[in-house]
Parts: sequence; structure tokens; C-alpha cells
Amino acid sequence: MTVVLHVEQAGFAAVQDLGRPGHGGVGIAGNGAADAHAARLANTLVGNAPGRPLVEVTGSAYAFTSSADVLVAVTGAAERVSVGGAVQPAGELLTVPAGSRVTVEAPARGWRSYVAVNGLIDSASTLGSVAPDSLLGVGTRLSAGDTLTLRTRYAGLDHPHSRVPVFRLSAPRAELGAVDVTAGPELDEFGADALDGEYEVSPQSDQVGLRLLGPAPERSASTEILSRGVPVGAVEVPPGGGLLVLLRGRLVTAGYPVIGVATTVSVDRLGQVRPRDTLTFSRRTNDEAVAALRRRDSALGALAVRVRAALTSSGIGHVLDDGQPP
Amino acid sequence: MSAHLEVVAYGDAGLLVAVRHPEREQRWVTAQAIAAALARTPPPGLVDVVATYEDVFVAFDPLSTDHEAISDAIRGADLATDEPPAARTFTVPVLYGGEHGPDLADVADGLGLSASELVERHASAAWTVRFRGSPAATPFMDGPAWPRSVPRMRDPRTAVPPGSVALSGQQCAVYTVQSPGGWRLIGRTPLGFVDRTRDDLVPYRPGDVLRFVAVDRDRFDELADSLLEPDP
Repeated sequence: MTVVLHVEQAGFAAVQDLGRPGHGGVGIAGNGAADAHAARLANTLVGNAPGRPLVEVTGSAYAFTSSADVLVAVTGAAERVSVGGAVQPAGELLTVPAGSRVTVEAPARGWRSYVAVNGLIDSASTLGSVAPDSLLGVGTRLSAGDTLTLRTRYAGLDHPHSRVPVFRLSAPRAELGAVDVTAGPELDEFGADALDGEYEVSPQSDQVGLRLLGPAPERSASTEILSRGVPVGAVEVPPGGGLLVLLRGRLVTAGYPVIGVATTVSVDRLGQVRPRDTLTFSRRTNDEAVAALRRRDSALGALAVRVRAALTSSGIGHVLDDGQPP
Repeated sequence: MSAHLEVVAYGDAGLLVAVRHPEREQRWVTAQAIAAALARTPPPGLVDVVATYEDVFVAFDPLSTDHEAISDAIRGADLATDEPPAARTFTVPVLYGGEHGPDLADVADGLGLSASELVERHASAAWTVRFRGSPAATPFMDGPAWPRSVPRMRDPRTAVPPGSVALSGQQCAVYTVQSPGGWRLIGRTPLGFVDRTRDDLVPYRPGDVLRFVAVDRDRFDELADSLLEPDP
């Protein structure tokens, strides 16, 4: 069935997914959810495939109502969600009645929250993704008064004998803390203590990268670095001082020394960093980084299994994403 | 003499390949050939490949492969399977100077040339596309050696219009979309470069040649909304 979602309040919110990887060869960044893991968790909680479009709310509050009953989950920075005035936990599968206002408060810690709804949100796709890209001039930024069209197989819980279940799935909240980095190609050209300092996140940061104010590591080499591809998470040392940490909207090539690269797990943590936050780095080996990623991925897989069981035992297993449009 | 490859970890999901060879051209040819070989026969878990002047950045999914397997695929890549496609030439009309090339006089001055000498040299050269970078498949090109490097702006512009023809160092680029940028603007083409329905966005590839031709305001206006195409 088709459901209309009415955006009631939007500070900075956009329709988002996991981006368009694989186009670096033509200078296009992958973009997508800044905290991709939180986005995967939200979609998994509502029974969607992890990469379905959802709403990314950045550093602000967001509220919506729907024209029919929907299944909703909020992950990332948000600690709780208000549904029709009742406080509900974040990181949980919530049944939302038609017309009930769902409100995600501006985050007290962390920066981005993700609001997933069971089904498929219609949104214009470019190169296989709905993710905003300001350079490509694509994306759907949301304002109060906007509507989103959702196609879903969920039609409410209408079993005469079962009450509306309260799910206890408890997806983890966004992790904060030190940013894990592995060695970058030019690390040896800097002192061993190059990343030991504390950095302040400049408000001039955006989806392209975080500007960090703090100690500027001293480079021993002076060889020119020709423009070359740079990974998301690269910790660059620009000539103007401080550090630059590249996020998913980065320019694909650059010519600055790279002293470290944030681990795949930590790139998502960077998506939760607030302007003026203090940031520190922890050195990791590639093996440690991949082990942490594997642990996180198995936890996500285990959550998907629990969601499947919960939806099936509630008599609504048919809402699970089977890869076909609802 | 064949090139030597230095392959190092570039994060938990990437590798950086630095091509070592005494000749610059050979470094570029090898870097591009690695990218072409990986595109032809992608190893499992490959996510993205960015080949530039003498480096290749390879991104992969660390849950389905690892540094060693991707490194093996790079070192084992068959670089000589096909001849590279023949270079094509694209003619790009440019309205030099004025509001569309606000840095023309200043750049010429820095190079010890008059504005018309700079235009003459820029428009008479063959500019080879070395790679397509950000934003949106911008062609990074080199051509004639200037007497000195063209310095970038101290304070980059926040919005460079699409079609702007820009110089930096010994390189030339054409901004394909509006974006911030610190390169020096000497003119603007009315042609559109980007077609968002194309998977590779633009018609040119590394190795193709752009030739610039000066046009006047009337011709510039006539060509507005035309798309860039290779010469017949």
C-alpha cells in the first residue's frame, strides 16, 4: 500500500542511503549516510534491506506524521523518540499509528540520527543512489510541509487476539570516543607522536571533511605529492596547519600527505562528531581494524535474525524486505 | 624496462599503488593500465579504482577480501592485453578573459606573457586528459610547459561556474559542474560536459586530447546548451 509521510519539522534532514560507491574513477564520491552503520541498523530494525532510503537528521530535530500505521526505527545520535507524546526508546522497532506525531529531538550527544520506515521511500536516484551530492546537484533535502511517498506491505497489526507487541530488539547506540586510525603512506615522514594530540573540530567542517584545529605534525620530507586518489577517512596534513579528515563526500583526489586513515568502523564514528568536539586518535593495525569491523558486522547479522523472528511471531513476517519492491 | 610497483596499505579497506619508473609518461601509462585491467577483470570484493598521474588507489570491501588478495590481483594484472583505445580529440570553444576568465591578465602577467600570448599558447596546444577527478569527471590535463608554475588562489572561490577553464601548476582543467575551487580562471566554454544518465558521466577518457579554440560572445551564446562531443 502507499502511505504519505508528512514532514512536520525539519532542521537539517535529507533522504539518504548508503551512497554510490564505485565511481571514484570519474571523480564522484560515494557519499551516503555519514554514519552508515546507524543507517544499516535503522533499516534492519524495520525489516528493510540495509541500503534502503531513509531520513538522515543532522544536528537538529525532526518530526513527521503518516497517513497510515507504519513501522519506524530511529538510530544514531538520538536517545529517545516521542510517538504521539509517549516517550519510546531509540534503537527499537516502533509501531506508529496513523496521524501520531513522531518526534526526534536534536541530539544532546552525537550529531546524526537515522529514521527508517518499513517499506520503500520514493526518491529520485542518480547512479543508483538517492544520496545527496552537492557537486552533482542531486538529493532530496526535507523541509516542514514536504511529503514523502512510502510503499509498504505493513497494514497495521490487526490480529483480534494479540495486543500491539512491544519489541525488545535494542540496537546499539552510536559509539563515540577516540577515532581509530591505521598508518597512512606518509606516516614515517612525521614524528612517532604525530597523532597523539587533542584536536578541536572546526565549525567549518561538512560532509566533505572535518577540519581539526590543533598541533600541526612536522613533516621531515619535502617531496611534492602529485594528486592521487584518497580514501574516505584519510587524515591529511594540509599546509595551513591542523588536520583534515576526509568524509564520504570528499573530493576523490588530493595531494596532501596522509598520516593515517580512519578505520571503516571509525569513519561512521566521524559521522557523529559535532562542531567544537574534542577529537583524539588511537593507532590500530589493519588486523585490529578488520576484526572490529567483523564483530560489528556479526552483531548486525544477529540483529537481522532477531528482527525476522520478532516480525514473524507477530504475524507480520510478510513486511520483511525480500528484495522486491513492496 | 617495466615499471616497479610499490603497494602499501591505505586504510583497512584500501591500497595505494605507486608506480616507479624513470619516465613520467611510463608511470602514467602503467597506472592507467592497472585501472583498465582491474575494470576488465575485477577481483572479488573490489569497490573502486582511481588512477592518476603515477598512483592507483584501490578500494575494497574488507569483509569479503583483504589487502593481500587485492595486492596479488594488482601485481598479477595483465597490463598488455589490449592496445589502449585510440586517443580522440575534442574541440572546446572558449570565451577567454572578461567576466568568464577573470584571472587571465593576472596569470599571463605571472608567466611573463601578454593576455593574448597566453590565449594563443593555450589554444594552440594539445591538452592530454591524464585522469578524470573531482568534481564530477573534471578532466585533469597537461600540455605545454609554462615558464613557471601557475599558483593557486590564496582564498579559493566558493562557486566556480561550470565550463570554467582553469590553470594550476602546469595543469589545465575544465570545471564540469559548479563547485568551490582555487584554480585560476582564464575563460569559459559554453559546452556542457556532464550527462548524468551516462555511467561515466562524460565522453572523454584518460589519453584523449582537448583542443581549445577562442570564440567571441555571439558564438558563445549560440553554443549554450550544446554538449561536448568528440571530433568526427
